[in-house]
Amino acid sequence: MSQANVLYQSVILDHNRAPRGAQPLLDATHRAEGFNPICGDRILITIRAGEDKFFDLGFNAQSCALCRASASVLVETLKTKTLDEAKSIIGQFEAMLSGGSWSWGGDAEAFTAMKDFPARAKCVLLPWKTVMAAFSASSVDPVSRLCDVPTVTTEPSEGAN
Amino acid sequence: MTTFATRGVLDLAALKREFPVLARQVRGKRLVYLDSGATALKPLRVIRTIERYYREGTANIHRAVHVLSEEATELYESSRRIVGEFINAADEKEVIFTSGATAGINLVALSFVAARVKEGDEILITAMEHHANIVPWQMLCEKTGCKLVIAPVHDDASLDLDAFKSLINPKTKFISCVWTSNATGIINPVQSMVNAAKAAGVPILVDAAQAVAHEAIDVQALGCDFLVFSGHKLFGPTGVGVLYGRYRHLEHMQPVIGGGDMIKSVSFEKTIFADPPSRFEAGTPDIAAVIALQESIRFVKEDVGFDAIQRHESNLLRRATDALAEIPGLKVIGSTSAKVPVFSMTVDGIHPHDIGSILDLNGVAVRTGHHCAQPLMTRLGVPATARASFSIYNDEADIEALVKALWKTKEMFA
Repeated sequence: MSQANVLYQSVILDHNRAPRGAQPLLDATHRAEGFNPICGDRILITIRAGEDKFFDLGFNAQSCALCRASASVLVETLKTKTLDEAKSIIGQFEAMLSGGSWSWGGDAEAFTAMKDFPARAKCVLLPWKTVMAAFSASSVDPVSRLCDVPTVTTEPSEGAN
Repeated sequence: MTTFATRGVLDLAALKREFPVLARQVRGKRLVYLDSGATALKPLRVIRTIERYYREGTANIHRAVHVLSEEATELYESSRRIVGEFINAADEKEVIFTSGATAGINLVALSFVAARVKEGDEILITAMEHHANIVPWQMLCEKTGCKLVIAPVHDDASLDLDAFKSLINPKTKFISCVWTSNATGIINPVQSMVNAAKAAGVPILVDAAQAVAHEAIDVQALGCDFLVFSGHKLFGPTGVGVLYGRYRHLEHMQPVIGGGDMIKSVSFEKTIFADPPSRFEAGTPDIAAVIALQESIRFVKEDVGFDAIQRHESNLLRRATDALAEIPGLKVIGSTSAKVPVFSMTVDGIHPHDIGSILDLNGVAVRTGHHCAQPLMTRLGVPATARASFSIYNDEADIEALVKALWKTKEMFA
């Protein structure tokens, strides 16, 4: 497999082309916006959760392919998981991007290749960090304006022009 | 006599050998370096000079009577002389070594401009500035209550010169403008801008960071009050930059950083500052970088020459413009005739970051993002672009590699 095909595996390209859950939920109990100032990736994540369980997730991404595919995989992975499981999954997903193991199966496994592309890890991680941000704030009115929702911003780092 | 050019024509094979990093393989492919706008590659004569300083002559400058220190001081000061000649400063004392263009702009903002603005005054910049020529002025405005005024650009990303001129008014106390845009490669009508500033009696700083490797600079002919550039975009080391300032300004400016090497005498009652340029060079500078900067200038002036540079780069500009126009859905932001070979690209349906990654996987190094010019990107309605910036060591094979990798990108996302 060429290196391009390792980073942009068909499973990732498929999630980018036909993302799962690419529709913000109107009945969300939690939501947050994530922003990556380096490349301008912007994502809104909406979640419908009960006291200790995810029922559904939906998102809207203006982003690169890796970020969008990652959000789509996130929806598939976290749907119906308990909050405790979700926390553990997100921690393991982050560790996987720098070479850690992944025990939850599914399409998320395609991102194991990210360990060789650290410059793009932030793109892939953004949706997962945004889910954490949604839970660090209290539940918000689902129709509240975008700019009012909790926002996670990845660390800005600019190179020389 | 030039080493790599004969009657304005480059000997590219020999020139490429002078840049050892070009022999490197990246991800199993020949390195195609198209990110000289971020930093230019370094020729052997620069690399060897840095090594020689650390290997044979490490010493601090202006401090001791021993041979090594005298040699280092002489080399350091000869760089000042060579930079002065390179930009045709009236006096080498008008050359201040900084850590880079950013530090030069900050020094002028904090020393020269801070002393002459009050609430309600205006500082004029353009909409195509690098963050380095926006943020220092915003910080100054915050502190003093003066106002930052922005000269707009046209839809094609070129400066609206008429608007720029009309924004100069009695409240305008300083103008700071970019010569060549790092984000688009567009060359501003900088002579007209300086003339307009002078006619209104407003001091002007020119940010030549992106211009310095592409055309000869003559600060006296230009008539600017200040000019900045960074060594690393001129095939020199990182960590050194130049602030040129007219001596009549410099001699009235207060230092911003105090310390060793910038004083005449120090007592606990009173310190007397040194004259410029030392007044603005407190502490031990990046001596190796300053010394090597003169070699990068010799490389540009003597080994290559601006005639050959401009001839080669205008050829690259024409060829790459034509080749990129063949790719459906690809747009080049800021395609005017007055530009350096910088191509800020968007491709329909593909995020610039994905373009950058796939080009990288094919050995082609470009910059992606907002290029530290977020306001310009916002004005042009693009969150980011993929920027290919060419230099003297690039050739048609590099254009072909770029185009081929762009086609692969399109196929992958088709």
